[in-house]
Amino acid sequence: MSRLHLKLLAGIALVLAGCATPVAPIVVGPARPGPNGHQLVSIPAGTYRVGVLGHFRNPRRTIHLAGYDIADAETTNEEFARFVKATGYVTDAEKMGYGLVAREGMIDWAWTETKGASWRAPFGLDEPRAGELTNHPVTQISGADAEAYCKWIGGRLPTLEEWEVAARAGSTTRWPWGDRFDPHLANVWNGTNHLHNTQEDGWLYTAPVRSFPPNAWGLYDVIGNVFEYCAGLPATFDKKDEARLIAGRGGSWWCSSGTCDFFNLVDIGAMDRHGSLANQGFRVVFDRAN
Amino acid sequence: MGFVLMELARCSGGLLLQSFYNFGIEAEMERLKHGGMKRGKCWLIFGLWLCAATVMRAGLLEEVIRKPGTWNQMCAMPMPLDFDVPLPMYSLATARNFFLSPANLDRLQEQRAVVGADIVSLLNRMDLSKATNNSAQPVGLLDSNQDPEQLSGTLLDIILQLDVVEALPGLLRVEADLNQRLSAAKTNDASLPALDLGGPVMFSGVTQENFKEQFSSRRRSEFTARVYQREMLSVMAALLRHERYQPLLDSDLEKSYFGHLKQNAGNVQLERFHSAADIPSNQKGWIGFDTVHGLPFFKDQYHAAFVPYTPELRQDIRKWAADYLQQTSGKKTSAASTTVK
Repeated sequence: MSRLHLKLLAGIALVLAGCATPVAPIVVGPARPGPNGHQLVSIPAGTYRVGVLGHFRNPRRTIHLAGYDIADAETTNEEFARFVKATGYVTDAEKMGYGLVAREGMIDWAWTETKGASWRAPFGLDEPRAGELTNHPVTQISGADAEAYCKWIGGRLPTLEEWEVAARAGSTTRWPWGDRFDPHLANVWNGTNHLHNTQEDGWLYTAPVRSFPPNAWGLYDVIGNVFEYCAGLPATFDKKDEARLIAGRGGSWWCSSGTCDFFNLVDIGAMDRHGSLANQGFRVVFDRAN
Repeated sequence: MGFVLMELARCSGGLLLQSFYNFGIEAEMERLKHGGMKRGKCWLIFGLWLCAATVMRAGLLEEVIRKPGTWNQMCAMPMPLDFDVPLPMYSLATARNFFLSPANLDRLQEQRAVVGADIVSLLNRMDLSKATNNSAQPVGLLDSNQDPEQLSGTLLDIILQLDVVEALPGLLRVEADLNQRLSAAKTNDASLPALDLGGPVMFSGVTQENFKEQFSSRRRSEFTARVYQREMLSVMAALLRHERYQPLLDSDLEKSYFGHLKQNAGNVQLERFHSAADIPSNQKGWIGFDTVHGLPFFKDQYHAAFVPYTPELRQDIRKWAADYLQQTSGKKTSAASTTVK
């Protein structure tokens, strides 16, 4: 056998050895304390796959992200209250005097203007107040309100892709736990329509954060509970929409398979960036210093 | 103080112009004259009323188009429409990001006569070549960033909700203009108006492979133009339906709609509503009651029904509208009429 043949064989052997080596899974450490009581999970910089083949708002693609820290849970009423106390911030719903509320017994898609609904009284003045829901995600806050909170705390909203990478936690399925929905793993609307919530997940509206098992990287409620605002819009949106809309992901307590079916890792919604509803919330992201 | 004066002018001007609209200018002048007022004073008052009406006229319609009052929820993403865009039956084709609030709808109803006249004026002067769909500008609370001088979902929804049948001539003109531009764009690459769809609907047929090509600026402009063109036709048909125009009620379009109504009326969410009075007040924006067939229906855009769009159907609708206008020329449509929908 000639030297050339030997070199060729050695090269082939090296390539085969490389292919046989299993790719190490991304290791994400446990959450650690962050500002204002948030617990933060560090997502390493790297190359990730997001989206789904053929999805026109979220097509399958490979992206590169710098490392970032993301809150393990949705911002709560308690955390938001500290922001308001420190700054005197007035939310959009408080300025307008109302927010949109949906209740059991209403038809699908119906939301009603409710005077006095705000983060302090997410379902209106006759319903439980934020003080009684301290560990529930803050709602009736607009995208602009969420951005104001994030700025105060030194953070920001996650981009659409940062949200998805953290929510997937390495999974390639429709939900973090697999391709079959399990009503015991997330807070969404149970039942065929909004006339009645069968509450298989144990909750009618919002649930306290961390009530359900986390994903593989320790993030809670990425599916359901409240929609989570994200920065940026899908490429399918008009340039004009950047000033008037904000995107959201993950679905909420309101979402059902009979309506939007958005409680998954794939779909992306958008709405008025100054609008407030009882099923909107957010989690915070912090850039990591190099 | 300026705001208070404007509001006083708006309220009083509206009431007075409503009276003129209902009884006619000459009749109103005669009424005042018989009341002992001298002719000179009559014309002075008429002049003041016109000023008040002008102040109000310039304000409300534009204000509500700019700030419709309420917004969609996050997951209210409509299903994609075929690029050829079917014809919606008596409704808009798709949801928008912003839509009329109950409070704004009430305000528009109160000023129905003036708003109707303003819509007629707007459609008469609408120049699609001036549509720019400007890039993002900072917007504030409830600001939709829609151009009040151009086609918008809010404008068409106001025409629908207020049954502005006097808008028919204007709709015919603008629809013809848009249709001609769509035809020209196909045959000689002419540019299309830069209309603002104001909503997230996209067209079907997008795949991983053709994603970039499908979302070219031109393709989006063409889709948007088709949506508006179909919606204007649908609004015309809805207005004729409100007027109980018999050729429309005897048409295949109406038969298709009746089938859709019957199918939905059996939905467990609607089956308990047997009259308009059964509908809870906090859901009147979402549930309607069709007075032609006596059936409840979903008012939201996610339950909109469609038929295939054809040039023949377009011609039918336009002919019905033209024939209706010819038959009713000179008659006044009561501005106070409301139909529970």
